[in-house]
Amino acid sequence: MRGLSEKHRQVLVLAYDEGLTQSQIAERIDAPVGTVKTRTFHALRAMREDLTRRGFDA
Amino acid sequence: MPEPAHDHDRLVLYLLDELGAEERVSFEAHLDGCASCATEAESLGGVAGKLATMAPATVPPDLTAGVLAAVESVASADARLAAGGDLATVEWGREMNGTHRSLPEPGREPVVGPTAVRSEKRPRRSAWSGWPLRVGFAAAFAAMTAAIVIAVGSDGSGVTAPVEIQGTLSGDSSGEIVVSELGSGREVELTSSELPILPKGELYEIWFVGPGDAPADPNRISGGTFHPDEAGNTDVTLHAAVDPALYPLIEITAEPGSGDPAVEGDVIARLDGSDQLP
Repeated sequence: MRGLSEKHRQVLVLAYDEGLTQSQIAERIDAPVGTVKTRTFHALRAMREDLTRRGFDA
Repeated sequence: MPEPAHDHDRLVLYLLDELGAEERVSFEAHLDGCASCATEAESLGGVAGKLATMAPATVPPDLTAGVLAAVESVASADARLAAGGDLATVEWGREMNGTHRSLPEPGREPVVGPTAVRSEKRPRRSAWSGWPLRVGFAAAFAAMTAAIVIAVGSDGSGVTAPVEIQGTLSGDSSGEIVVSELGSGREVELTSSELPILPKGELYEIWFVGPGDAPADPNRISGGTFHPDEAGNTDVTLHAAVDPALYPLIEITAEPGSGDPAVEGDVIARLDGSDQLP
């Protein structure tokens, strides 16, 4: 997970652990919902790359 | 026939199961006609499915005991220094008075991860659930989430610097940019998956452009240089001593890497932040 930036980890944690919707995350971190969705998209991509680098079948 | 525009926003909502029934059908129709989004959905769906099946990991009780002991040790040293006494006396007194912090009872293993601080959560469903849980992956993610809970803080905001400009870049490539005010200048956060990988030696440069800027009479300040990673993703944080109120237009140019500090390359993307400034 070291490959993920803090902001990427933040949106994934809020989405997957706290179960917040993208709109709720936007409200929580005081950012436009479009930014949150873009950030989540790139976070998932970064996660995929990180898993692949570590030999997991992403 | 050309492919339709990629719809990453709805793709994210699709992966997170946040689309309504009608929107879902509509997006799946989009996937049928967009090979790029379909491939992305399948690939990222695997990651989303793994995340959805993550379980909080437990750690050995002695880990907590070790951490508490270390904290106790530091606190004792501070107390000794504050009192002007010696460490041995302070420790002896605490033992005799029974003031040592009690540790968790044996058999009650602490749980790391956000569930340790937040008991209510909405289970995240996923259209891609059913992937096997990999224990090593879960443990790594749990450790990561624990770190993030600390980083986000109790209010979950994680935002410490006021945002001045925030939005989507337009032009040949897109992306998201956030400019925040710091005491020492501005922090520029740029995220994009569309900036092409440049030939070796070339680089991208962020510019803050002011009124009247022209090649013969430039009025711009560089916000730094960067390039995408090997996978073509850009996720950079740069710092610039610039006031967006004076230079509200943000441009990204592809520079030849010639060493000339002047702008030489084409504008790839831009965002006019003037309407966001006071």
